[in-house]
Amino acid sequence: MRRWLVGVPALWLVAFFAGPFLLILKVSLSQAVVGQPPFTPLFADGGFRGSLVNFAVLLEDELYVEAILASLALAASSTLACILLGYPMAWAIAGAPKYWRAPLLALVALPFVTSFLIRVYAWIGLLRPTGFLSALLQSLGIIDGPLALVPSTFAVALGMTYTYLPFMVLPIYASLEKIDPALTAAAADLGAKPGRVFWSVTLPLSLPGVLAGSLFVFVPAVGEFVVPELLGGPGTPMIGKVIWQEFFNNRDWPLASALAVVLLALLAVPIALAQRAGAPTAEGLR
Amino acid sequence: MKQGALAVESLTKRYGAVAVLDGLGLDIDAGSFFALLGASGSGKTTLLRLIAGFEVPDSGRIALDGADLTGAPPYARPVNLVFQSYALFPHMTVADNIAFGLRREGMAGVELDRRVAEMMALLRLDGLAVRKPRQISGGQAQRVALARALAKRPKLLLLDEPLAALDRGLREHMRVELKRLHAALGTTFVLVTHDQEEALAMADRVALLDQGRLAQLGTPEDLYERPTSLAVARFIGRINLMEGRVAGTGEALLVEIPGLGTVRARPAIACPPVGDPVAIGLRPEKIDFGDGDNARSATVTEVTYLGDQSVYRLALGGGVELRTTRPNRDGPAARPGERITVSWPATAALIFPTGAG
Repeated sequence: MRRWLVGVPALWLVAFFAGPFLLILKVSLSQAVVGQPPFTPLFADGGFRGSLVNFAVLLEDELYVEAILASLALAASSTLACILLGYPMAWAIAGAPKYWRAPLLALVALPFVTSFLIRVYAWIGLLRPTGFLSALLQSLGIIDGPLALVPSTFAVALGMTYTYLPFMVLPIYASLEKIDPALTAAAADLGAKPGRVFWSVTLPLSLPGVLAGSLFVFVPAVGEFVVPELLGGPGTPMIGKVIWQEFFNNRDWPLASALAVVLLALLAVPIALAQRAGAPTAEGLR
Repeated sequence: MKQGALAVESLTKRYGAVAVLDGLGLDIDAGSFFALLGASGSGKTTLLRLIAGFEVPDSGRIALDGADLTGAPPYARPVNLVFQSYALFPHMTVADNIAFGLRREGMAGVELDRRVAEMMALLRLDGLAVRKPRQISGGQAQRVALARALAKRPKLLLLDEPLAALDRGLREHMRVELKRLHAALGTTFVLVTHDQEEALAMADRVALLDQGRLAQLGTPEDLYERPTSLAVARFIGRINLMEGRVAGTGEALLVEIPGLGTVRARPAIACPPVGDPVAIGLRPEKIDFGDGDNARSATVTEVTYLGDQSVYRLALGGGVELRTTRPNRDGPAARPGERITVSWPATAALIFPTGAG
């Protein structure tokens, strides 16, 4: 019975991850043509016709390398912002009286009730030169003229931090909530003041949650398409946006596929690292 | 002069409307092995948390060697606690666990290493320094918890049900080990337990708590041989109870028990007047087989063989039932259905007033 249960996620992965990935990999090895489908077949005239030409193009053209680097940097800063905002939130919820925790967690997840697109558009309303924030700062006399925060790279980072914050709060909360209260009591009993209890006991024991939350934020943030499209200007060529353009504007499916493959390979690195650290980190981080 | 004398004065702690501790007062001598014994809900755990500083009392005072501790936070008290779950830091090695409290005092370098090594030797933890808590056994984890709490050389060590999580063999071994540690260190040990055997076996003095009040404080022998109330007599060990009325006072107290006639008992501290209802308490092992003081004939109704001893259930006149034990030196002393004579010395019969009625 147990052995069969493993088959469920395995089947899911084959159908919705391995299959599509192999299709993309196949397309990435062919060349773009005008036609239907818009790429050459992998096997033609009785032989293998695939090549790594598209991957070579990616490395040669600075645009793609820059887009990847910019995406990684933006995802990293959003992840960091999520940790800095999310940890205190999770900590406060975990420390709240028991009957408050469920409602507070529900509040964290509440934005999901509204459409993601509407929420991002709302940010445009808040951040644009005639928007709420600009008007508020002007009326307070902090700035003179209208403030143009959107479109900007800052707005993208802000939007992604906002979007992914719950994915950081929930795993950190879960790991904080699991910490035996006797451990912090023991630290206090042994002479640790509250700040030291946090640094020496609470924080290290909650790192697995921080690590999980960082993956949940970083991985989708790297490939994020909607937020940079709406809040970012032409100055933020994020990889998700570039893939979109290659697919739909340039109709260069093979190149877009190659970009997707490279992105996936890049994201596999932090996941693999986290996995290796993961088993011992549950208890083993110092 | 020995250190670690704890004074608890009229301590009250309420949770909502419930007084978990109700004006509790007791003194713990410096360097003694003291047990706080009680059933769950007796307030012993609350008292432990108040002494450690995890809770603040509603009223009353706790003082250690004359210094008031009542409002002090846990980290500022010269008191350390061995947690029931041990509460070892899972992300630290055994050595770092033991060093944790010392580092908070600013100890470092050679001095720290020496103290940690000393504690590890004292608790026989050699070779485990770099292990993590999940890599050691339950017995070892307990010794690490002890080493960690004792490393700071507290004036008073609190032990919260220290043997509850251990299996039987290990438990008896740890009892001896704790007595050895106490004798070697001279620190005041305060054991909190619901297990009377544990309290009687280890402590010099035992405080029995009942519903937030002190039921009796004394040596283990005081509590077993001279319980001051029916509640204490019932909680500590096993006891046979017979209801009757005082029929006469004098050298021995005469008690009239329906169906048994008049029996002789040890006079209580406050001797109840003639006619008052009382209960006679008789420890099972004090009943003799054969003629003597308070001799009565009885029928053996049940024999339970326990190896080293057997338990006999006896039916006396008037529906009185007694339970007694005999060591099995030459096999069982009686068989079911047998008619025998039993007796008990007047001094073995404890008297408890049962109030008017």
